[in-house]
Amino acid sequence: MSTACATLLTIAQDMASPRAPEVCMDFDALYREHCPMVTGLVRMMVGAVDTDDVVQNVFLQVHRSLDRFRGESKLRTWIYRVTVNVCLQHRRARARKKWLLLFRLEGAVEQVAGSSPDGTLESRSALRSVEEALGGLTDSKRDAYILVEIQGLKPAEAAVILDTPLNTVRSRVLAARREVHAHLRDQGVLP
Amino acid sequence: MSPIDGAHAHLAGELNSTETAEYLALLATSEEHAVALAEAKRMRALMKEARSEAEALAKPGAFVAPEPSTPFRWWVPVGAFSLAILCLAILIERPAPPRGGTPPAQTKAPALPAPLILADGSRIEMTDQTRVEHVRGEADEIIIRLHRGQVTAEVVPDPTGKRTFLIHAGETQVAVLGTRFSVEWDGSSDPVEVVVERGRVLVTSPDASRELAAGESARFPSAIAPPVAVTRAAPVAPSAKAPETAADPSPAAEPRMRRRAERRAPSPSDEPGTPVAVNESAGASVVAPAIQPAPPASAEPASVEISLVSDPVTNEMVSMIRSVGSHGCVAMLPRFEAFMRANAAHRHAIDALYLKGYCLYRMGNQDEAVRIWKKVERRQPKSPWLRTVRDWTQPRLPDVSRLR
Repeated sequence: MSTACATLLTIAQDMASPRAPEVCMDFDALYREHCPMVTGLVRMMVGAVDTDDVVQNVFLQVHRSLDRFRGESKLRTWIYRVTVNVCLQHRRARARKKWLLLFRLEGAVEQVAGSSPDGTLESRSALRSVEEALGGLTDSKRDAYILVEIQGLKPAEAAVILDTPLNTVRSRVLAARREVHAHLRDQGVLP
Repeated sequence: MSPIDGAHAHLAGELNSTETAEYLALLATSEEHAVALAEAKRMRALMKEARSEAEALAKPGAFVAPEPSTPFRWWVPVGAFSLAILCLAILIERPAPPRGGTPPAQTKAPALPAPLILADGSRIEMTDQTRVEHVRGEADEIIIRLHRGQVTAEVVPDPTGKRTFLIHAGETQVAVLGTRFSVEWDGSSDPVEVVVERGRVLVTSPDASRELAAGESARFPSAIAPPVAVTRAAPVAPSAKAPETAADPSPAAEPRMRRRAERRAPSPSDEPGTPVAVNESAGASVVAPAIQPAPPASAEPASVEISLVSDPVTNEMVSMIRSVGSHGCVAMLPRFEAFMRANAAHRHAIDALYLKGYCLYRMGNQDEAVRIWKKVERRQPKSPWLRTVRDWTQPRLPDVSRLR
């Protein structure tokens, strides 16, 4: 655990401490440390279009809720949980205004399909392949699969984050593996 | 265990030592398992690569902590919504005009023109659309010319007896000596109607002159016309009024009903104690209340009905009922209340109570009106007023439907 996380944990466990400014001071460090992880998870869960907004919301939520972090779990797990909750909220909100999303998706597709000046489009082929494969999964299977297979969490941790029974997470991951495997094989991605 | 599941479980470290040994044995003998394992390895590498690519998209600039935002005040939209509902409910609850064509303005008393206060303190009240002219006469002479409408004069008695107070309506002249009376004329060839509440007036028409006392009302031709019937005012009996007022209970509608009543023959079912008719020649047509039908217009013009009424309380009630239409409910409400206080035991007190409710209803206080009408029902369950109330208000006010 980084120094920043240790400091945060210490402060969070002692709410009466007058060292509150340190939370703000160390929040930048927390952000720098966890931003890539949060970005990757958000990208997988909500797609490319809204990634930046959702990441911003995640850290806003972390910033607001840091006082309530009791240190009962790892800070990383807690941030995972916040991220997943924000992504689920965003997904529900997006479902409510699906007709608006249609226009935004059209713009996003054009943006991705267009030529990239820095040539990063080609380097993201693996990501695109995985995203296509994940697109065929249900939300529940995809969430479990992303946390376990892509983010590398243990099924037990994923169960806590998703607030789902462990065996349910396992069965979802198993089913998702088969579907993703079959999809990638069909697409010729696998040898 | 399928080759794919076995490969992923093996790579994920989900197999225990026994299962791992079994899987490795299968792997050595089965090409399908070997292929699946190779695919699983590629797939896991792909996932790792995708994760790296996704995390590389992060923009790890300095996070700007947001300003503490104003918390969502849930009670603001809730309060605004509640207020809107309340306003809507109030608008909906405002009573619509009852059946029978009563004008919508009944919930608000029409604004009366400002009364005319004369130099001696006498007061001339006018109804809406009334046109009068104050003619300057001699120093001790006050002349009001009524061109159209109705005026009610409250004349201060003259202790010297020299002052002359005259109201001209067409060719009819009303002279007074300290009294309260009203003169109504629509400006056409219809008769001039004079109602005396207090004191005495001397009415001079082109054909005859007649002195009217308190409680009397009469109609005089506004131009030269053959003499018609004269009647003294009779008490208002609610029981006899019901048939006329079933469609419109408004006392203000009385002149209309009166005219209808005049075309009707006298009813033998009038209230006991109805005054005896006496023939008398005169040059004016006297108006009987709606419940005291006058002879039809085609009757002998020279015949005269005089109702011998000596009860001043009844006279006052008659006068008040007639005044509702001209003075408005706002002005008459305190008079009905005062009447009830002064004549609590009188048989007309119940009528005043009903009329108080009527005024309140016209002024928009329906709840209080219903409460009063229920009190009328308790005191006099068979009062014909109640049938009128039910017919009038039942479609609009469900509470009144309990008035059985």
